[in-house]
Amino acid sequence: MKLPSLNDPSVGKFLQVSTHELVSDAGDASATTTDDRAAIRMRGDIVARPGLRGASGELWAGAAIAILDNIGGFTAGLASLPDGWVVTTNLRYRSLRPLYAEHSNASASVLRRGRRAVVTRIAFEADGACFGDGVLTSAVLSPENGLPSWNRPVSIERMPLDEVESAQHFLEWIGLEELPPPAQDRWEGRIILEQKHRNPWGIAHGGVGPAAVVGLLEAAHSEHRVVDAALHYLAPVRTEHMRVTAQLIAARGGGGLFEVNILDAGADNRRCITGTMVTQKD
Amino acid sequence: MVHLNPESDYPPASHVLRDLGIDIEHVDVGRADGWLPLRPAITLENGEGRIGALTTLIDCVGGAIAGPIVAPGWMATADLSVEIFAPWTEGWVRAEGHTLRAGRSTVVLQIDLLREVDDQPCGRGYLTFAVLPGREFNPIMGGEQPQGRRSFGDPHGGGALPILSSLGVTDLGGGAISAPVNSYSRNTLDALHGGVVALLIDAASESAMSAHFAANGRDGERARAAALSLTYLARNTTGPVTAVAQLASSSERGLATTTVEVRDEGADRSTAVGWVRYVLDEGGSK
Repeated sequence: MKLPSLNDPSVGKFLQVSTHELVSDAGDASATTTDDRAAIRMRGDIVARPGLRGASGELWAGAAIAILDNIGGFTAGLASLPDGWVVTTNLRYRSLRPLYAEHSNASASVLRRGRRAVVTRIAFEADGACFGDGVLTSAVLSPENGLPSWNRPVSIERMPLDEVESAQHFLEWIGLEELPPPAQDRWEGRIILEQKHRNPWGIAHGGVGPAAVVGLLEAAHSEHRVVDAALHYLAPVRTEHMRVTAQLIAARGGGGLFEVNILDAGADNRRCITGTMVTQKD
Repeated sequence: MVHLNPESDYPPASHVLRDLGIDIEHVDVGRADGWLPLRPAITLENGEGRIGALTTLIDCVGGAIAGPIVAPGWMATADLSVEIFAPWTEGWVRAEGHTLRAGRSTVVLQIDLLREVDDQPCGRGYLTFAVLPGREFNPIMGGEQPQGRRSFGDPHGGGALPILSSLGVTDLGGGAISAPVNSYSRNTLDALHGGVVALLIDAASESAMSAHFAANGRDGERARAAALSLTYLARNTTGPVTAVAQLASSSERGLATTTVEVRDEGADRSTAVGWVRYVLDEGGSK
């Protein structure tokens, strides 16, 4: 059985977020392995190297969303054990202010642990201040290959990146190819999915498509940055052809509101993630 | 289980949905439309309809779509987001809902809002329902759905009071509000209606924004709610229900956001989290 791991040579490795399970609210780390699963809290330590920064030097929204999905999903997965593991169903992210610090962290806590769903909140913090946050809802499933097991409390250090990956921006690593805009105020791109884009179950990591859309939007509007995303996961991307689209719904507040879609182009363009993103002018 | 007769069983004679004046029409399997009139009860000082009322409309249309899909089971709203991108200042808003996903555990819907006065889009909502197993006390919405547009509304135009007053909302100041759970505001599961939770988040955020303006010597200024997001954690069964909003960011560049936590104080539990994003017009005023 292949266990899910943030150490897989995948999105989690590229993001270089060391992840630690914290002592529970009850003041007892062992509480996280008992029935008091809602007490689970995780902290991901972020080092904002250039490959994770946006045009103005802030933590790039595409990276932040992927980190949110990574640590929020992992926290939800731990909370769902031993009944199952999780897949993302809803992701909400907002930037409250640009995060320029080199060292920051993403703190995840469980808001609700139900039999079928787990809700986690994630906050991006540096120097005691909150720069952005999000809420991740995950569905609890029973993987065919069985459940992962972890030594608790979990502590995962960064795996070293090779020189090529260290020098790459996350968007470059994803490999987004921008396509000619099919219409006014509409943008498209595609990604050939490789093993590195996938999670241990072979489906595209939940942060890949959204990060690609952020890249698409910011390439089309160079002075804008994505400050808000509300995404709904409808189905997994399984084939190797991912298509991403963005369509302007309304211009406002010096930015715009966009409908975004992530499609499995190898499966009749099945819509896999849909939702909205909001940009704001720098 | 009780087979719900949507013509007569819900909502009761005195209910927030009747005062809002919502109409619903089943279009097809997986599709439904809804309407909401702009009444004084939901009109803000700037003449626009309240985002919480639009969110309630979205929740109702979503329930009308999802109910037959999940029958004989039932459902609960799990996640809701709405973006308002054009002002609604007169007439009716029409909500057109369709199904994006109907799975074993969740139903995901998209609801588009259009102003009937000019047939222009003015908002978009997404809803996720958690599918619940049928229980004895659950109603069933399966089978033939009523044809045509049916009205929850009071033919006499609904209550004269602002909707927050009708709900018994008390502004505790500084972004905190409280409201009871009673027959006026309950849903089919005997808990606070999901749309009412959105109204409370709207109201608490409004209070927080007012407090922010007052603290900065800008009394009387208002900001326009452009988006509301909401994740439901548990039912509000007992009450009183409190919603506490804090200003999360106040941008110089025209956007501000709040964070809101909703609790059922009687049941001593958190029941929802959400946020509202505001657009500050030129000069920060309405």
